[in-house]
Amino acid sequence: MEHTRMIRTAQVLDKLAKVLSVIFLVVSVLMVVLGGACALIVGTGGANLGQGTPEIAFGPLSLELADGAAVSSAYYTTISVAILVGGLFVLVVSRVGFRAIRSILEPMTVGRPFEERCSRALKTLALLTLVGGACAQVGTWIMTYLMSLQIDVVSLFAPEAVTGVTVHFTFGVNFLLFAAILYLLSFVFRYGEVLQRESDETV
Amino acid sequence: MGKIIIRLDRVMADRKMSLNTLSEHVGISNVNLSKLKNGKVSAVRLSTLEGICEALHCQPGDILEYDPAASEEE
Repeated sequence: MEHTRMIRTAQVLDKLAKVLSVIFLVVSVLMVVLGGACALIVGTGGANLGQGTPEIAFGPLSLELADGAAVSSAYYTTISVAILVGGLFVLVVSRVGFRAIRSILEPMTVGRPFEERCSRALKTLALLTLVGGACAQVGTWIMTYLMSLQIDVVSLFAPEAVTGVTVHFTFGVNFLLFAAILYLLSFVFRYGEVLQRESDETV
Repeated sequence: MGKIIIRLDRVMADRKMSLNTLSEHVGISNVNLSKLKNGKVSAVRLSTLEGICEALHCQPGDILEYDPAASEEE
């Protein structure tokens, strides 16, 4: 009964992974195309795209700025390049990640969770989490720094109330923990593969 | 280190029993019984050995032979 439940759950998750991989592919390609196009237009002096209503976020709050207020001319170029790079990042991570996830789920859909490719896929996911998490963290720092240069935050407030702004760079370790767990899990699956092979070779 | 050699084909020939008939008696698939006959397995369950001995009216020693000179690669 547990076996059947595993197969059914794996089949549902496999279908979901297939759908999500397509969605991520479409979104990331759109980001790359949009970001690239915007960067090209803004970089070559496209007038209309350089104007608009920039927004800055303070935690859960989002402030819509008046046209031209407190934002440097490089702001839109930076945003465009960020969308382009972000799109490429999502494209690579999602393609590799979903392929690894599906190679874990596919053997489960036929009731064999301990196939040889599962432990390799888990190691791939662990590496992807580590590298992807680190890249995302560094990317966030870079964007935060660039935004701090391109948006004159102090000018948005009364000078007698706010005299300066400091940017705090945080470092999240969740991705490190998740990568470590996935890596350890790969050894458990490797052991399971050995047991599965011994069971298969027993009559 | 020696090797266990499976003499199932010899006993089957003596009893004039086919692979299909034996697999039906024992309750394992033709494929697995063929693997056993050709020595392509790494372990045999006691229940399988019991079934084979009952079907062929033989002892486990008739089917399994230890050869100290044989190696894993053969």
